[in-house]
Amino acid sequence: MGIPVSSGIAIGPALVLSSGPYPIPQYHIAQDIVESEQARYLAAVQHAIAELAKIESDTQTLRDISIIFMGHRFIIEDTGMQEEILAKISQDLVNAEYALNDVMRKHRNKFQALHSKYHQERVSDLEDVENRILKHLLGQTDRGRENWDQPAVLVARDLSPSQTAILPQAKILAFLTDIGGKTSHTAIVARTRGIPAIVGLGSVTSQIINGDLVIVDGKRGIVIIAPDKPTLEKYERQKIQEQIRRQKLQELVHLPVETLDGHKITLRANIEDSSEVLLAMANGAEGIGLYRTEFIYLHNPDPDEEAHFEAYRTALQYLGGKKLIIRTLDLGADKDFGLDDFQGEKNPFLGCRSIRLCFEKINIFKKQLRAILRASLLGRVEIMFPMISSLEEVLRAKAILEETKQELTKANIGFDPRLRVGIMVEIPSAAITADLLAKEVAFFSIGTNDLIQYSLAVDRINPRVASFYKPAHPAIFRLIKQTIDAAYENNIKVSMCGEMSSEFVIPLMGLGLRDFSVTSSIISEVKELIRSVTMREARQISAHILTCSTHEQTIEYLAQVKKT
Amino acid sequence: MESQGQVVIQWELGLHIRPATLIAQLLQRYNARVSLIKNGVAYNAKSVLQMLTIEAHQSDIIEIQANGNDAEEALCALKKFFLEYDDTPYW
Repeated sequence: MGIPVSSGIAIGPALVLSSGPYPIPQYHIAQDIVESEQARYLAAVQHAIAELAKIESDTQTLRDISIIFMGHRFIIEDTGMQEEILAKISQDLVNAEYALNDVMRKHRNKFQALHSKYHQERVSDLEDVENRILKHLLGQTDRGRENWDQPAVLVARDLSPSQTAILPQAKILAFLTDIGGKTSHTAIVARTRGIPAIVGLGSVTSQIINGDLVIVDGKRGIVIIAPDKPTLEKYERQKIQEQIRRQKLQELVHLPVETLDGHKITLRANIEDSSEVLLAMANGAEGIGLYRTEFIYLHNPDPDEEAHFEAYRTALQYLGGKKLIIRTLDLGADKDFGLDDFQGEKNPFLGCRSIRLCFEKINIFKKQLRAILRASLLGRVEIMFPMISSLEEVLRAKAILEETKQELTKANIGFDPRLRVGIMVEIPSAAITADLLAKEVAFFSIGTNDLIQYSLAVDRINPRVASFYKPAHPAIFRLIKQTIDAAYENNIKVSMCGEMSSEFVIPLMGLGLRDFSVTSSIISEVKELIRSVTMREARQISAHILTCSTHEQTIEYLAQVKKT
Repeated sequence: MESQGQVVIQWELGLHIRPATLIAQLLQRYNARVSLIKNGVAYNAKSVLQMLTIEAHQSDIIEIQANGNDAEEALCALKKFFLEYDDTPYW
């Protein structure tokens, strides 16, 4: 078993890459050839730089990889390092290969001293640079160019960035390496290109020989060498199914989110950082339904207005006119980023968190509000207050927002006066009084994780009571229905941004929800569910679920419906 | 002219070769001498080799010090980079 870093199944012959460092010749040179030895070294450096520049331009479209080679080029061009090596040749009267190796070893040892779990990758960048110059000094050819007459599973101790770049990508079925982790270069390249990969297998290079038939299960991290016929057939079937599934999900990205009978549904993404917007869009998100702004506080308990503004501006820039719903600070003792001392709280989930904390720390709250207001001119922004339990809190939060608007107006700073304000419905009292709250806001967003936790009084992180955490509990469906109905009656929008949106999307549509926000990675899966039913069927399913008396009954019924 | 600032490493892999390379490239445009300071040790921000030896993980705070006629501009550009560069590979 190794570390699965890129999922997928591959079946094919193994190609074991020769590894290990180049043998390094070591000898003394006479004083009178120092200059020619230095010139020989500089020539090799020039070749290495030219070669790197070529790889950089060849990999232009794969920017992640291209940058790495630019980095290698910068390292070689580093004048400090060159001077060290040239000095070593002239002072110790040694050959260029040895001088290079000696200097680079000193730099590598600096890395080894680092405690970072990434130091291996950094060392391998340096080894890569050294090997490239050595190759030119020794007049060798590249490794990894051998024997590629057919697609193969590549087996190596580790793959350097250089190796992965010169490998014929179309012929690689999978990667298997002895060392490495989830963040190693091989892992990143494999995921980027959708090639199954398992790293950290220990001694896979000594267990597999060239031409062995191997099965790679990149999802589970399993390698099977020389499989028997039934195993092989099993995996071949699995591989085909997987391909079909992957293709289907990929095709879904560009298909509209609608039911079989053409009812349109909106699918947005939940994000924690503005950089995630790109991934969300690539997965087909219609905007951001929940921007959890806590990340901005992660490194600084009191970020300034500009830090907020920059984050929102970046997100809006990536969104290109699509909607961004920003949730104001939702911190509490469960995710305490040093904002406050929560030590004294015995019941953090019932304590001073989220909007309650903002009421206590008006200045911190206002900085965020000012930034959101300013950002409202740059795109489609909406603001959402979390942890609302009663009407007073809605009014109070809105009053603070009004005050902030007036301050901006006084200071002659622009904002969109029509900025829409909504609330999270995640506390049972809010769901039950949704009809009262609806009069004061433009939209509801149902947050199911907290709604379930507060309704059932279960902390799902606590393993002893986790089995009591039941999303399909009849109380939850009733609260959701009540919230949706209140929104419709008062003509305001309602959406859902909790985890329930994925598994239960069909009955939730049946209850009237048309707007969901989920993690980017499952957008296609949710879309597939939506596209598999008619609205009429969804309504029938939700009508039946409302008659179920237990979570188990509902789950069983849904499983049954799915099969037919 | 001397300018100083503070940034936070947001990237999952810390300050590794990709961001280090982009920082060195970005600073080529400026005359200022720019150092990244971690635990009191200064590293030349125009040298990829030096930056790689900074043990800077995600969430770590790094001090920046810039000296030169365009120090302020260099600092500004660098801060922007630390905030905006998205190191997640696209897959």
